[in-house]
Amino acid sequence: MTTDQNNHLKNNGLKKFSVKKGLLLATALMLANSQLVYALPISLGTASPDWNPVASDKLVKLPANIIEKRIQKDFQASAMATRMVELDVDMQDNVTVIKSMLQIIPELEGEAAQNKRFELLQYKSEYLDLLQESHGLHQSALEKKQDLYSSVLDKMRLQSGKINNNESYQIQQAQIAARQRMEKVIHQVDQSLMHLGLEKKSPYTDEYSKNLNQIEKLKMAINQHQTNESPQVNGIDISSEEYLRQLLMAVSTEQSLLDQEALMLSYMAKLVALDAQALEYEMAYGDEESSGFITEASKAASVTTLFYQE
Amino acid sequence: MHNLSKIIITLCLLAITMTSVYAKPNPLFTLENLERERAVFLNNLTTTKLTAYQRDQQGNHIIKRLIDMERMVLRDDRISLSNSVMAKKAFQNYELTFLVHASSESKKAPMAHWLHALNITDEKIYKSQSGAR
Repeated sequence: MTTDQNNHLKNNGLKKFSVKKGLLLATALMLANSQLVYALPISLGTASPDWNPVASDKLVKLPANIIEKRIQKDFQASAMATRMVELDVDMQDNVTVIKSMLQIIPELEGEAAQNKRFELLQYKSEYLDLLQESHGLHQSALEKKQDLYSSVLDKMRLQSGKINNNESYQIQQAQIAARQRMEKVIHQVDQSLMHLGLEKKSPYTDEYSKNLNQIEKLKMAINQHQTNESPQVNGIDISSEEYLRQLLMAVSTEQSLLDQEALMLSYMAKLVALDAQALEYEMAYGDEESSGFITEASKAASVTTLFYQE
Repeated sequence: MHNLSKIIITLCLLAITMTSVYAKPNPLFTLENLERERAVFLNNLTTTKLTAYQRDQQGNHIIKRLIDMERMVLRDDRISLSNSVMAKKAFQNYELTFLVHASSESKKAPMAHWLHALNITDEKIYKSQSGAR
């Protein structure tokens, strides 16, 4: 055996050793991570890029459909959303590489194929790390949105409760009732004035009726103004409170879908771990075919002719 | 873009200014006017300085003013926002506060309606005695 051959074998051995080590480490990490992802999605989600929304009084005063837009805008400007976009881009790149590798691998053989498969596992592992981080961030964002919508809803209810129990609200209701009572006899009272010989209308009555029509038109324009429109779901006008409840329901839906995705993520991680393990076994013990391969030279019957002369 | 936000801010400020113009210092101004006029109307009934004709003529003019004032009070949103006891009592006692409109419902003259609301009958008046309380 020459020195070159020795070096080559040594190098191969080292390479195989490092690959093995890498695979073992990867397998262990994968298995550990796959458990973690499913068991503790929340603890992983509270990573550094954060978003801390607050249900301020200013926010509560906005129309419900604007509240949603405002929250979304605030979220998009946060470090959390920026990181999520970055992760999306990275994952997209990873997927492209994985797809191209999957096409190349069947064409390769031997060590080149093994190396490529190892590389593929690394990319898959990297992709799963990114997916895990993205999943955590999504989970965290949804939890924060849920908290935010809940506190906005609570504040809204508190305010409407305060208004309903408020003294001035009671007076307002009494005034409305009194006004309605007055409206019923308004013509009767005007006619009674004529009986009293006071036909001439007072400046207040005269001007008031003139202005009243204009006020009604202005009120109608305000009510029909798009900025003043009440929130709609499926084309039906709903109250702000109901709109927020719908938003909370949408968050719950997204959360349950994320839970499903977490399960998928854990299964994908497990598959990568199993692939890594299979590759490790293959490198340690070789293929069954190659291990059972017996050359012609090792068969005594085929070489007997070499030992005698006919 | 910068100009647009400037315009929006200006318009918002204008809206705030308009609202503050609408908010007068005394929210009970119209109600106080009504109470004053109602006192004059009741005084018109009890005063001995007027003849029956004068009482009738003056009473009619006061009723005309009362009609406007009652409507003003009922349409004045500032009153309910004042959160005052006076406003609360005024709406609680519709029959007495909005005398002219309430009397029209009961088809009585305003004065007769007032006496009826307080349960003051001819009989009670005849039985009453004048003196220090």
